[in-house]
Amino acid sequence: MSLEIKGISKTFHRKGAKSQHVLRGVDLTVETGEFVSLIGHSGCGKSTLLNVVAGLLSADRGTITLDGQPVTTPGPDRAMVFQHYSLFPRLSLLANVREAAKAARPDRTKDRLDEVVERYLTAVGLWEHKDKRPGQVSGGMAQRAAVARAFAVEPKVLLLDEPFGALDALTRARLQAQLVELWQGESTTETVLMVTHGIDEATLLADRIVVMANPPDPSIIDVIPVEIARPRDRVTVVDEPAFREVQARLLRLLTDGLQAA
Amino acid sequence: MSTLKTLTDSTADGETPAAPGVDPPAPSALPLSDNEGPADEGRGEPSRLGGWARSGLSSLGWGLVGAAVVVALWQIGATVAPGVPKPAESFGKFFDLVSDPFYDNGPNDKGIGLQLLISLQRVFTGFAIAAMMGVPLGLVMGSSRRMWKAANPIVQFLRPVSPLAWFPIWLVAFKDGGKASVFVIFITALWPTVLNTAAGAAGIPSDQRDVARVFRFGRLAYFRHVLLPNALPSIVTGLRLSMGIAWMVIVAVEMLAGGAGIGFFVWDSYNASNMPAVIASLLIIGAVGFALDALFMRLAAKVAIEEVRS
Repeated sequence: MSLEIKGISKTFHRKGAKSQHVLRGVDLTVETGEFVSLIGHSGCGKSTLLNVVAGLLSADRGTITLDGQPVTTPGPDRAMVFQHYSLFPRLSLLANVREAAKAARPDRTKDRLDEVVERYLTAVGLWEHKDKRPGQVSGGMAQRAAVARAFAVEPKVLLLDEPFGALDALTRARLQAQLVELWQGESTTETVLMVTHGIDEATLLADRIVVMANPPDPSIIDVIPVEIARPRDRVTVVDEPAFREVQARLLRLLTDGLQAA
Repeated sequence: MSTLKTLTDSTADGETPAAPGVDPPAPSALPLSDNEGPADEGRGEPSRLGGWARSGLSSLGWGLVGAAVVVALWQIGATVAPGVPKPAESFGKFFDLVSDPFYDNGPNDKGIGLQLLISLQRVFTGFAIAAMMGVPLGLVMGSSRRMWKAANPIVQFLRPVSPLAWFPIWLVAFKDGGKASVFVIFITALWPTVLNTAAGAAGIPSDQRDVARVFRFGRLAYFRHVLLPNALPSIVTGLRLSMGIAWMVIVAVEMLAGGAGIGFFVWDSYNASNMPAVIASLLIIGAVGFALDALFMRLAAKVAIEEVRS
Protein backbone atom coordinates (compact mmCIF):
# COMPACT_ATOMS: atom_id res chain seq x y z
CA MET A 1 0.00 0.00 0.00
CA SER A 2 1.63 3.15 -1.17
CA LEU A 3 1.78 6.04 -3.55
CA GLU A 4 3.53 4.86 -6.69
CA ILE A 5 4.88 7.29 -9.26
CA LYS A 6 6.04 5.48 -12.39
CA GLY A 7 7.75 6.91 -15.44
CA ILE A 8 6.15 10.35 -15.18
CA SER A 9 7.16 12.77 -17.93
CA LYS A 10 5.85 16.23 -18.51
CA THR A 11 6.78 18.74 -21.17
CA PHE A 12 5.56 22.32 -21.30
CA HIS A 13 5.14 23.82 -24.75
CA ARG A 14 5.33 27.57 -24.88
CA LYS A 15 4.76 29.78 -27.86
CA GLY A 16 8.00 31.19 -29.16
CA ALA A 17 10.15 29.30 -26.66
CA LYS A 18 11.82 25.93 -26.58
CA SER A 19 9.72 23.12 -25.15
CA GLN A 20 10.67 22.43 -21.57
CA HIS A 21 11.00 18.82 -20.55
CA VAL A 22 10.31 19.50 -16.90
CA LEU A 23 9.87 15.93 -15.74
CA ARG A 24 11.71 13.04 -17.38
CA GLY A 25 10.73 9.55 -16.37
CA VAL A 26 10.22 10.15 -12.67
CA ASP A 27 9.98 6.98 -10.60
CA LEU A 28 9.25 7.23 -6.90
CA THR A 29 7.44 5.08 -4.40
CA VAL A 30 6.22 6.70 -1.22
CA GLU A 31 5.30 4.16 1.40
CA THR A 32 2.19 4.62 3.48
CA GLY A 33 3.11 6.49 6.64
CA GLU A 34 6.14 8.11 5.10
CA PHE A 35 7.01 11.81 5.07
CA VAL A 36 8.84 12.60 1.84
CA SER A 37 10.30 15.98 0.88
CA LEU A 38 10.99 17.06 -2.68
CA ILE A 39 13.83 19.54 -2.88
CA GLY A 40 15.53 21.31 -5.75
CA HIS A 41 16.09 24.59 -7.49
CA SER A 42 13.40 26.66 -9.12
CA GLY A 43 12.29 25.09 -12.34
CA CYS A 44 13.31 21.54 -11.43
CA GLY A 45 9.73 20.40 -11.68
CA LYS A 46 9.08 19.61 -8.02
CA SER A 47 5.87 21.61 -7.95
CA THR A 48 4.89 20.16 -11.30
CA LEU A 49 5.31 16.67 -9.90
CA LEU A 50 3.20 17.60 -6.88
CA ASN A 51 0.48 19.01 -9.14
CA VAL A 52 0.48 15.82 -11.19
CA VAL A 53 0.06 13.77 -8.02
CA ALA A 54 -2.74 16.13 -6.96
CA GLY A 55 -4.43 15.59 -10.29
CA LEU A 56 -4.24 19.26 -11.23
CA LEU A 57 -1.93 18.52 -14.16
CA SER A 58 -1.90 15.46 -16.36
CA ALA A 59 1.40 13.83 -17.21
CA ASP A 60 2.43 13.19 -20.79
CA ARG A 61 3.62 9.70 -19.91
CA GLY A 62 3.62 7.50 -16.87
CA THR A 63 1.18 6.52 -14.17
CA ILE A 64 0.44 7.37 -10.59
CA THR A 65 -1.34 4.89 -8.37
CA LEU A 66 -2.47 5.30 -4.81
CA ASP A 67 -3.04 2.00 -3.03
CA GLY A 68 -3.33 0.37 -6.43
CA GLN A 69 -5.89 2.83 -7.76
CA PRO A 70 -4.78 4.96 -10.73
CA VAL A 71 -4.81 8.71 -10.06
CA THR A 72 -5.67 11.09 -12.89
CA THR A 73 -7.93 13.72 -11.33
CA PRO A 74 -8.17 15.38 -7.91
CA GLY A 75 -9.81 13.16 -5.34
CA PRO A 76 -10.67 13.04 -1.63
CA ASP A 77 -7.76 10.66 -1.01
CA ARG A 78 -5.39 13.61 -1.55
CA ALA A 79 -5.52 17.15 -0.18
CA MET A 80 -3.16 20.02 -0.76
CA VAL A 81 -1.74 23.00 1.09
CA PHE A 82 -0.77 25.77 -1.30
CA GLN A 83 2.16 28.14 -1.09
CA HIS A 84 0.15 31.33 -0.65
CA TYR A 85 -2.62 30.16 1.69
CA SER A 86 -5.17 30.37 -1.12
CA LEU A 87 -8.09 30.90 1.18
CA PHE A 88 -11.25 32.48 -0.11
CA PRO A 89 -11.05 36.09 1.09
CA ARG A 90 -14.78 36.61 1.63
CA LEU A 91 -15.33 33.50 3.77
CA SER A 92 -14.51 33.13 7.44
CA LEU A 93 -11.73 30.72 8.34
CA LEU A 94 -14.42 28.30 9.50
CA ALA A 95 -16.33 28.58 6.24
CA ASN A 96 -13.12 28.17 4.26
CA VAL A 97 -12.36 24.88 6.00
CA ARG A 98 -15.96 23.71 6.07
CA GLU A 99 -16.85 24.44 2.44
CA ALA A 100 -13.72 22.72 1.15
CA ALA A 101 -14.16 19.70 3.41
CA LYS A 102 -17.82 19.46 2.44
CA ALA A 103 -17.12 19.70 -1.28
CA ALA A 104 -14.29 17.19 -1.18
CA ARG A 105 -16.15 14.67 0.96
CA PRO A 106 -19.88 14.92 0.32
CA ASP A 107 -20.26 11.41 1.71
CA ARG A 108 -19.90 12.56 5.33
CA THR A 109 -22.89 13.52 7.44
CA LYS A 110 -23.28 17.08 8.64
CA ASP A 111 -22.47 16.12 12.23
CA ARG A 112 -19.35 14.29 11.16
CA LEU A 113 -18.30 17.24 8.98
CA ASP A 114 -18.80 19.72 11.79
CA GLU A 115 -16.87 17.53 14.19
CA VAL A 116 -13.91 17.14 11.84
CA VAL A 117 -13.82 20.85 11.01
CA GLU A 118 -13.85 21.78 14.68
CA ARG A 119 -11.21 19.18 15.52
CA TYR A 120 -8.66 20.46 13.00
CA LEU A 121 -9.35 24.14 13.51
CA THR A 122 -8.83 23.51 17.23
CA ALA A 123 -5.71 21.48 16.55
CA VAL A 124 -4.09 24.37 14.70
CA GLY A 125 -5.24 26.77 17.42
CA LEU A 126 -7.71 28.72 15.33
CA TRP A 127 -11.05 27.71 16.83
CA GLU A 128 -11.39 30.99 18.70
CA HIS A 129 -10.55 32.90 15.52
CA LYS A 130 -12.85 30.84 13.33
CA ASP A 131 -15.16 33.72 12.45
CA LYS A 132 -12.39 35.98 11.17
CA ARG A 133 -11.79 36.37 7.50
CA PRO A 134 -8.35 35.71 5.98
CA GLY A 135 -7.81 39.45 5.59
CA GLN A 136 -8.13 39.88 9.33
CA VAL A 137 -5.41 37.43 10.32
CA SER A 138 -1.68 37.08 9.87
CA GLY A 139 0.00 34.98 7.20
CA GLY A 140 0.84 32.31 9.76
CA MET A 141 -2.77 32.03 10.87
CA ALA A 142 -3.95 31.94 7.27
CA GLN A 143 -1.58 29.09 6.49
CA ARG A 144 -2.72 27.24 9.63
CA ALA A 145 -6.26 27.51 8.32
CA ALA A 146 -5.08 26.12 5.00
CA VAL A 147 -3.44 23.20 6.84
CA ALA A 148 -6.65 22.58 8.79
CA ARG A 149 -8.59 22.71 5.53
CA ALA A 150 -6.42 19.99 4.01
CA PHE A 151 -6.53 17.74 7.09
CA ALA A 152 -10.31 18.18 7.39
CA VAL A 153 -10.73 16.30 4.12
CA GLU A 154 -9.15 13.33 5.95
CA PRO A 155 -7.02 12.42 2.95
CA LYS A 156 -4.67 9.47 2.76
CA VAL A 157 -1.98 11.67 1.31
CA LEU A 158 -1.25 15.27 2.19
CA LEU A 159 0.46 17.34 -0.50
CA LEU A 160 2.32 20.47 0.59
CA ASP A 161 3.68 23.00 -1.91
CA GLU A 162 6.28 25.09 -0.10
CA PRO A 163 3.71 25.68 2.59
CA PHE A 164 5.86 27.74 4.93
CA GLY A 165 8.02 29.58 2.42
CA ALA A 166 6.22 32.89 2.84
CA LEU A 167 6.37 32.91 6.64
CA ASP A 168 8.93 34.34 9.03
CA ALA A 169 11.34 31.89 10.68
CA LEU A 170 9.63 31.71 14.08
CA THR A 171 6.18 31.20 12.64
CA ARG A 172 7.58 28.64 10.26
CA ALA A 173 9.16 26.67 13.10
CA ARG A 174 5.89 26.61 15.02
CA LEU A 175 3.91 25.47 12.00
CA GLN A 176 6.43 22.76 11.16
CA ALA A 177 6.06 21.34 14.64
CA GLN A 178 2.29 21.55 14.41
CA LEU A 179 2.28 19.77 11.07
CA VAL A 180 4.36 16.86 12.34
CA GLU A 181 2.19 16.61 15.42
CA LEU A 182 -0.97 16.40 13.34
CA TRP A 183 0.55 13.93 10.92
CA GLN A 184 1.80 11.63 13.70
CA GLY A 185 -1.05 12.21 16.08
CA GLU A 186 -4.72 12.64 15.72
CA SER A 187 -5.10 12.85 11.98
CA THR A 188 -5.92 9.88 9.78
CA THR A 189 -3.51 11.19 7.18
CA GLU A 190 -0.52 8.92 6.98
CA THR A 191 1.53 9.96 4.01
CA VAL A 192 2.98 13.41 3.34
CA LEU A 193 4.63 14.67 0.19
CA MET A 194 6.13 18.10 0.65
CA VAL A 195 7.83 20.42 -1.82
CA THR A 196 10.36 22.72 -0.21
CA HIS A 197 13.52 24.58 -0.95
CA GLY A 198 14.58 24.72 2.65
CA ILE A 199 17.37 22.28 3.45
CA ASP A 200 16.74 22.59 7.19
CA GLU A 201 13.04 22.10 6.72
CA ALA A 202 13.48 18.98 4.61
CA THR A 203 15.99 17.45 7.01
CA LEU A 204 13.95 18.23 10.09
CA LEU A 205 10.66 16.92 8.78
CA ALA A 206 11.22 14.19 6.22
CA ASP A 207 11.88 10.46 6.38
CA ARG A 208 13.35 10.67 2.91
CA ILE A 209 14.47 13.60 0.82
CA VAL A 210 14.13 13.42 -2.94
CA VAL A 211 16.63 15.73 -4.62
CA MET A 212 15.59 16.98 -8.02
CA ALA A 213 17.70 18.68 -10.66
CA ASN A 214 16.89 21.15 -13.36
CA PRO A 215 16.40 19.89 -16.90
CA PRO A 216 18.19 18.57 -18.91
CA ASP A 217 19.56 16.49 -16.02
CA PRO A 218 17.47 13.52 -14.97
CA SER A 219 14.68 14.70 -12.72
CA ILE A 220 15.63 12.78 -9.60
CA ILE A 221 19.34 12.85 -8.86
CA ASP A 222 19.29 11.37 -5.38
CA VAL A 223 17.07 10.05 -2.62
CA ILE A 224 18.50 10.62 0.83
CA PRO A 225 17.09 8.77 3.83
CA VAL A 226 17.00 10.78 7.04
CA GLU A 227 17.57 8.27 9.79
CA ILE A 228 16.87 10.37 12.83
CA ALA A 229 14.48 9.10 15.47
CA ARG A 230 11.26 11.00 16.09
CA PRO A 231 10.21 13.11 17.84
CA ARG A 232 12.91 15.39 16.51
CA ASP A 233 13.71 18.44 18.53
CA ARG A 234 14.72 21.30 16.31
CA VAL A 235 17.30 22.50 18.82
CA THR A 236 19.06 19.23 19.61
CA VAL A 237 18.63 17.61 16.24
CA VAL A 238 21.38 19.73 14.75
CA ASP A 239 23.91 17.93 16.95
CA GLU A 240 23.04 14.56 15.51
CA PRO A 241 25.73 13.28 13.14
CA ALA A 242 23.03 11.97 10.81
CA PHE A 243 21.53 15.46 10.53
CA ARG A 244 24.86 17.02 9.59
CA GLU A 245 25.60 14.25 7.15
CA VAL A 246 22.29 14.73 5.35
CA GLN A 247 22.74 18.50 5.27
CA ALA A 248 26.23 18.23 3.84
CA ARG A 249 25.06 15.83 1.19
CA LEU A 250 22.14 18.08 0.26
CA LEU A 251 24.31 21.16 0.08
CA ARG A 252 26.80 19.41 -2.14
CA LEU A 253 24.11 18.19 -4.51
CA LEU A 254 22.32 21.51 -4.71
CA THR A 255 25.37 23.72 -5.08
CA ASP A 256 26.82 21.39 -7.76
CA GLY A 257 23.63 22.04 -9.63
CA LEU A 258 24.16 25.78 -9.22
CA GLN A 259 27.68 25.71 -10.62
CA ALA A 260 26.61 23.67 -13.59
CA ALA A 261 23.84 26.10 -14.38
CA MET B 1 16.03 28.96 8.35
CA SER B 2 16.27 29.14 4.60
CA THR B 3 19.86 28.13 4.11
CA LEU B 4 19.90 28.83 0.41
CA LYS B 5 18.26 32.15 -0.16
CA THR B 6 19.16 31.96 -3.82
CA LEU B 7 16.92 28.96 -4.25
CA THR B 8 13.78 31.01 -3.82
CA ASP B 9 11.21 29.96 -6.34
CA SER B 10 10.12 32.86 -8.46
CA THR B 11 6.89 31.39 -9.72
CA ALA B 12 4.95 34.54 -10.40
CA ASP B 13 1.30 34.64 -9.52
CA GLY B 14 -0.68 34.39 -12.71
CA GLU B 15 -1.12 37.95 -13.82
CA THR B 16 -4.40 38.09 -15.59
CA PRO B 17 -4.37 39.85 -18.92
CA ALA B 18 -7.11 42.42 -19.09
CA ALA B 19 -9.54 41.98 -21.92
CA PRO B 20 -9.01 44.45 -24.72
CA GLY B 21 -11.05 47.56 -24.47
CA VAL B 22 -11.90 47.03 -20.84
CA ASP B 23 -11.38 49.85 -18.46
CA PRO B 24 -9.21 48.68 -15.60
CA PRO B 25 -10.96 48.60 -12.25
CA ALA B 26 -10.61 52.06 -10.81
CA PRO B 27 -8.56 52.13 -7.66
CA SER B 28 -10.96 53.03 -4.93
CA ALA B 29 -8.84 55.76 -3.50
CA LEU B 30 -11.66 57.75 -1.99
CA PRO B 31 -10.92 58.48 1.61
CA LEU B 32 -13.93 56.58 2.96
CA SER B 33 -12.44 56.70 6.39
CA ASP B 34 -15.51 55.41 8.19
CA ASN B 35 -15.58 52.30 6.05
CA GLU B 36 -12.26 50.55 6.39
CA GLY B 37 -13.49 47.25 7.71
CA PRO B 38 -13.34 45.85 11.20
CA ALA B 39 -9.64 44.98 10.95
CA ASP B 40 -8.69 48.55 11.69
CA GLU B 41 -11.31 49.21 14.30
CA GLY B 42 -10.05 51.17 17.23
CA ARG B 43 -6.51 51.20 15.95
CA GLY B 44 -6.55 54.70 14.57
CA GLU B 45 -4.13 56.91 16.39
CA PRO B 46 -5.58 60.14 17.72
CA SER B 47 -3.37 62.15 15.38
CA ARG B 48 -4.92 60.39 12.39
CA LEU B 49 -8.33 61.89 13.00
CA GLY B 50 -6.76 65.32 13.09
CA GLY B 51 -4.90 64.44 9.89
CA TRP B 52 -8.12 63.54 8.15
CA ALA B 53 -9.79 66.73 9.30
CA ARG B 54 -6.86 68.82 8.19
CA SER B 55 -6.64 67.17 4.77
CA GLY B 56 -10.43 67.47 4.45
CA LEU B 57 -10.30 71.18 5.21
CA SER B 58 -7.45 71.66 2.77
CA SER B 59 -9.39 69.83 0.03
CA LEU B 60 -12.42 71.97 0.70
CA GLY B 61 -10.40 75.18 0.64
CA TRP B 62 -8.64 74.42 -2.63
CA GLY B 63 -11.91 73.18 -4.12
CA LEU B 64 -13.48 76.54 -3.33
CA VAL B 65 -10.52 78.33 -4.90
CA GLY B 66 -10.97 76.31 -8.10
CA ALA B 67 -14.71 76.97 -8.17
CA ALA B 68 -14.12 80.70 -7.66
CA VAL B 69 -11.73 80.79 -10.61
CA VAL B 70 -14.27 79.03 -12.83
CA VAL B 71 -17.08 81.39 -11.79
CA ALA B 72 -14.84 84.39 -12.41
CA LEU B 73 -13.98 83.17 -15.92
CA TRP B 74 -17.67 82.53 -16.50
CA GLN B 75 -18.49 86.08 -15.40
CA ILE B 76 -15.92 87.45 -17.86
CA GLY B 77 -17.22 85.22 -20.65
CA ALA B 78 -20.82 86.24 -20.00
CA THR B 79 -19.82 89.91 -20.10
CA VAL B 80 -18.03 89.47 -23.43
CA ALA B 81 -20.61 87.23 -25.11
CA PRO B 82 -24.15 88.52 -25.00
CA GLY B 83 -26.84 85.90 -24.51
CA VAL B 84 -24.78 83.84 -22.09
CA PRO B 85 -26.43 84.15 -18.68
CA LYS B 86 -24.33 85.59 -15.89
CA PRO B 87 -23.50 83.47 -12.84
CA ALA B 88 -25.72 85.51 -10.52
CA GLU B 89 -28.70 85.09 -12.82
CA SER B 90 -28.09 81.36 -13.18
CA PHE B 91 -27.67 80.73 -9.48
CA GLY B 92 -30.83 82.73 -8.87
CA LYS B 93 -32.69 80.50 -11.31
CA PHE B 94 -31.12 77.46 -9.68
CA PHE B 95 -32.52 78.39 -6.28
CA ASP B 96 -35.84 79.19 -7.93
CA LEU B 97 -35.99 75.74 -9.44
CA VAL B 98 -34.98 73.82 -6.35
CA SER B 99 -37.22 75.84 -4.04
CA ASP B 100 -40.35 74.36 -5.63
CA PRO B 101 -39.21 71.19 -7.34
CA PHE B 102 -42.40 69.13 -7.30
CA TYR B 103 -45.15 71.32 -8.75
CA ASP B 104 -47.15 69.82 -11.57
CA ASN B 105 -49.10 72.06 -13.93
CA GLY B 106 -49.95 69.48 -16.52
CA PRO B 107 -47.73 67.59 -18.96
CA ASN B 108 -45.84 70.65 -20.23
CA ASP B 109 -45.01 72.31 -16.97
CA LYS B 110 -43.51 70.18 -14.24
CA GLY B 111 -41.09 71.04 -11.43
CA ILE B 112 -37.43 70.14 -11.83
CA GLY B 113 -37.72 67.49 -9.12
CA LEU B 114 -40.43 65.64 -11.03
CA GLN B 115 -38.40 65.84 -14.24
CA LEU B 116 -35.38 64.46 -12.39
CA LEU B 117 -37.42 61.63 -10.94
CA ILE B 118 -38.67 60.69 -14.39
CA SER B 119 -35.11 60.64 -15.74
CA LEU B 120 -33.79 58.73 -12.75
CA GLN B 121 -36.54 56.17 -13.09
CA ARG B 122 -35.69 55.65 -16.75
CA VAL B 123 -31.98 55.40 -16.00
CA PHE B 124 -32.47 52.91 -13.20
CA THR B 125 -34.90 50.78 -15.21
CA GLY B 126 -32.61 50.58 -18.24
CA PHE B 127 -29.61 50.10 -15.96
CA ALA B 128 -31.34 47.29 -14.05
CA ILE B 129 -32.25 45.42 -17.23
CA ALA B 130 -28.68 45.85 -18.46
CA ALA B 131 -27.29 44.55 -15.17
CA MET B 132 -29.65 41.57 -15.12
CA MET B 133 -28.57 40.59 -18.62
CA GLY B 134 -25.03 41.91 -18.66
CA VAL B 135 -23.70 40.34 -15.46
CA PRO B 136 -24.70 36.75 -16.33
CA LEU B 137 -23.54 37.23 -19.92
CA GLY B 138 -20.23 38.65 -18.73
CA LEU B 139 -19.73 35.81 -16.24
CA VAL B 140 -20.32 33.24 -18.99
CA MET B 141 -18.05 35.09 -21.41
CA GLY B 142 -15.30 35.36 -18.85
CA SER B 143 -15.51 31.73 -17.77
CA SER B 144 -15.63 30.06 -21.15
CA ARG B 145 -13.11 30.66 -23.88
CA ARG B 146 -15.64 29.55 -26.49
CA MET B 147 -18.32 31.90 -25.28
CA TRP B 148 -15.75 34.67 -25.23
CA LYS B 149 -14.83 33.96 -28.84
CA ALA B 150 -18.48 33.79 -29.83
CA ALA B 151 -19.69 36.92 -28.08
CA ASN B 152 -16.70 39.23 -28.01
CA PRO B 153 -16.72 40.24 -31.70
CA ILE B 154 -20.38 41.22 -31.48
CA VAL B 155 -19.81 43.19 -28.31
CA GLN B 156 -16.75 44.93 -29.71
CA PHE B 157 -18.67 45.75 -32.90
CA LEU B 158 -21.73 47.18 -31.17
CA ARG B 159 -19.89 48.91 -28.35
CA PRO B 160 -18.63 51.91 -30.36
CA VAL B 161 -22.10 52.55 -31.80
CA SER B 162 -23.64 55.54 -30.09
CA PRO B 163 -26.55 54.32 -27.97
CA LEU B 164 -28.58 57.15 -29.50
CA ALA B 165 -28.43 55.38 -32.86
CA TRP B 166 -30.64 52.74 -31.28
CA PHE B 167 -33.34 55.27 -30.51
CA PRO B 168 -35.27 54.91 -33.81
CA ILE B 169 -35.19 51.12 -33.49
CA TRP B 170 -36.64 51.19 -30.00
CA LEU B 171 -39.12 53.86 -31.04
CA VAL B 172 -40.39 51.62 -33.81
CA ALA B 173 -40.47 48.69 -31.43
CA PHE B 174 -42.29 50.43 -28.56
CA LYS B 175 -43.99 53.35 -30.26
CA ASP B 176 -43.29 55.35 -27.10
CA GLY B 177 -40.51 57.85 -26.50
CA GLY B 178 -40.25 57.07 -22.80
CA LYS B 179 -39.86 53.33 -23.27
CA ALA B 180 -37.45 53.88 -26.13
CA SER B 181 -35.34 56.07 -23.81
CA VAL B 182 -35.24 53.30 -21.23
CA PHE B 183 -33.91 50.89 -23.83
CA VAL B 184 -31.35 53.36 -25.08
CA ILE B 185 -30.10 53.44 -21.49
CA PHE B 186 -30.18 49.66 -21.47
CA ILE B 187 -27.86 49.57 -24.49
CA THR B 188 -25.67 52.24 -22.92
CA ALA B 189 -25.24 50.32 -19.69
CA LEU B 190 -24.92 46.90 -21.27
CA TRP B 191 -21.42 47.02 -22.77
CA PRO B 192 -19.37 48.28 -19.84
CA THR B 193 -21.23 45.86 -17.57
CA VAL B 194 -20.61 42.88 -19.85
CA LEU B 195 -16.96 43.64 -20.54
CA ASN B 196 -15.96 44.42 -16.98
CA THR B 197 -17.81 41.42 -15.61
CA ALA B 198 -16.13 39.23 -18.22
CA ALA B 199 -12.72 40.62 -17.31
CA GLY B 200 -13.42 39.89 -13.64
CA ALA B 201 -14.57 36.37 -14.36
CA ALA B 202 -11.57 35.73 -16.59
CA GLY B 203 -9.20 37.02 -13.95
CA ILE B 204 -9.90 34.48 -11.23
CA PRO B 205 -6.52 33.84 -9.55
CA SER B 206 -5.22 30.48 -10.71
CA ASP B 207 -4.55 29.36 -7.16
CA GLN B 208 -8.22 29.79 -6.29
CA ARG B 209 -9.18 27.71 -9.29
CA ASP B 210 -6.71 25.07 -8.12
CA VAL B 211 -8.24 25.09 -4.65
CA ALA B 212 -11.67 24.56 -6.17
CA ARG B 213 -10.34 21.65 -8.21
CA VAL B 214 -8.36 19.98 -5.43
CA PHE B 215 -11.33 20.15 -3.07
CA ARG B 216 -13.65 19.18 -5.92
CA PHE B 217 -16.08 22.08 -5.73
CA GLY B 218 -19.27 21.49 -7.66
CA ARG B 219 -20.63 24.03 -10.10
CA LEU B 220 -22.75 25.78 -7.53
CA ALA B 221 -20.00 25.95 -4.91
CA TYR B 222 -17.57 27.23 -7.54
CA PHE B 223 -20.01 29.93 -8.57
CA ARG B 224 -20.74 30.98 -4.98
CA HIS B 225 -17.27 30.84 -3.52
CA VAL B 226 -14.89 31.45 -6.42
CA LEU B 227 -16.46 32.99 -9.50
CA LEU B 228 -18.87 35.52 -8.06
CA PRO B 229 -16.77 36.77 -5.12
CA ASN B 230 -13.72 37.28 -7.32
CA ALA B 231 -15.63 38.95 -10.13
CA LEU B 232 -17.59 41.20 -7.79
CA PRO B 233 -15.18 44.17 -7.74
CA SER B 234 -15.03 44.18 -11.54
CA ILE B 235 -18.80 43.86 -11.75
CA VAL B 236 -19.22 46.90 -9.54
CA THR B 237 -16.67 48.80 -11.62
CA GLY B 238 -18.65 47.91 -14.73
CA LEU B 239 -21.89 49.02 -13.14
CA ARG B 240 -20.31 52.26 -12.00
CA LEU B 241 -19.02 53.07 -15.48
CA SER B 242 -22.42 52.11 -16.92
CA MET B 243 -24.23 54.40 -14.55
CA GLY B 244 -21.89 57.27 -15.33
CA ILE B 245 -22.43 56.99 -19.08
CA ALA B 246 -26.16 56.31 -18.67
CA TRP B 247 -26.56 59.55 -16.77
CA MET B 248 -24.87 61.41 -19.61
CA VAL B 249 -26.88 59.68 -22.32
CA ILE B 250 -30.27 60.16 -20.66
CA VAL B 251 -30.02 63.92 -21.16
CA ALA B 252 -29.33 63.49 -24.86
CA VAL B 253 -32.00 60.88 -25.44
CA GLU B 254 -34.63 62.92 -23.65
CA MET B 255 -33.80 65.87 -25.85
CA LEU B 256 -34.65 63.57 -28.76
CA ALA B 257 -37.65 61.92 -27.16
CA GLY B 258 -39.23 65.03 -25.73
CA GLY B 259 -42.20 65.10 -23.40
CA ALA B 260 -40.58 64.64 -20.00
CA GLY B 261 -37.35 64.22 -18.13
CA ILE B 262 -34.39 66.42 -17.30
CA GLY B 263 -33.07 66.31 -20.86
CA PHE B 264 -36.39 67.50 -22.16
CA PHE B 265 -36.36 70.23 -19.52
CA VAL B 266 -33.02 71.50 -20.80
CA TRP B 267 -34.18 71.52 -24.41
CA ASP B 268 -37.53 73.04 -23.50
CA SER B 269 -35.80 75.82 -21.56
CA TYR B 270 -33.57 76.51 -24.55
CA ASN B 271 -36.61 76.73 -26.82
CA ALA B 272 -38.19 79.14 -24.37
CA SER B 273 -34.96 81.18 -24.50
CA ASN B 274 -34.58 80.61 -20.78
CA MET B 275 -30.80 80.26 -20.67
CA PRO B 276 -30.43 80.65 -16.91
CA ALA B 277 -32.69 77.59 -16.56
CA VAL B 278 -30.42 75.66 -18.95
CA ILE B 279 -27.39 76.48 -16.81
CA ALA B 280 -29.27 75.77 -13.61
CA SER B 281 -30.27 72.32 -14.88
CA LEU B 282 -26.66 71.73 -15.84
CA LEU B 283 -25.69 72.30 -12.21
CA ILE B 284 -28.42 69.92 -11.06
CA ILE B 285 -27.46 67.22 -13.56
CA GLY B 286 -23.88 67.48 -12.37
CA ALA B 287 -24.85 67.21 -8.73
CA VAL B 288 -27.00 64.12 -9.34
CA GLY B 289 -24.27 62.49 -11.43
CA PHE B 290 -21.75 63.18 -8.68
CA ALA B 291 -24.06 61.63 -6.08
CA LEU B 292 -24.65 58.54 -8.21
CA ASP B 293 -20.93 58.03 -8.68
CA ALA B 294 -20.26 58.49 -4.98
CA LEU B 295 -22.86 55.81 -4.31
CA PHE B 296 -21.07 53.33 -6.54
CA MET B 297 -17.67 54.27 -5.12
CA ARG B 298 -19.02 53.39 -1.72
CA LEU B 299 -20.31 50.09 -3.05
CA ALA B 300 -16.92 49.42 -4.64
CA ALA B 301 -15.18 49.99 -1.32
CA LYS B 302 -17.61 47.55 0.31
CA VAL B 303 -16.92 44.75 -2.15
CA ALA B 304 -13.15 45.21 -2.37
CA ILE B 305 -11.18 42.04 -1.63
CA GLU B 306 -9.01 42.14 1.48
CA GLU B 307 -5.60 40.56 1.40
CA VAL B 308 -4.03 38.45 4.11
CA ARG B 309 -1.93 40.61 6.41
CA SER B 310 1.64 39.45 6.32
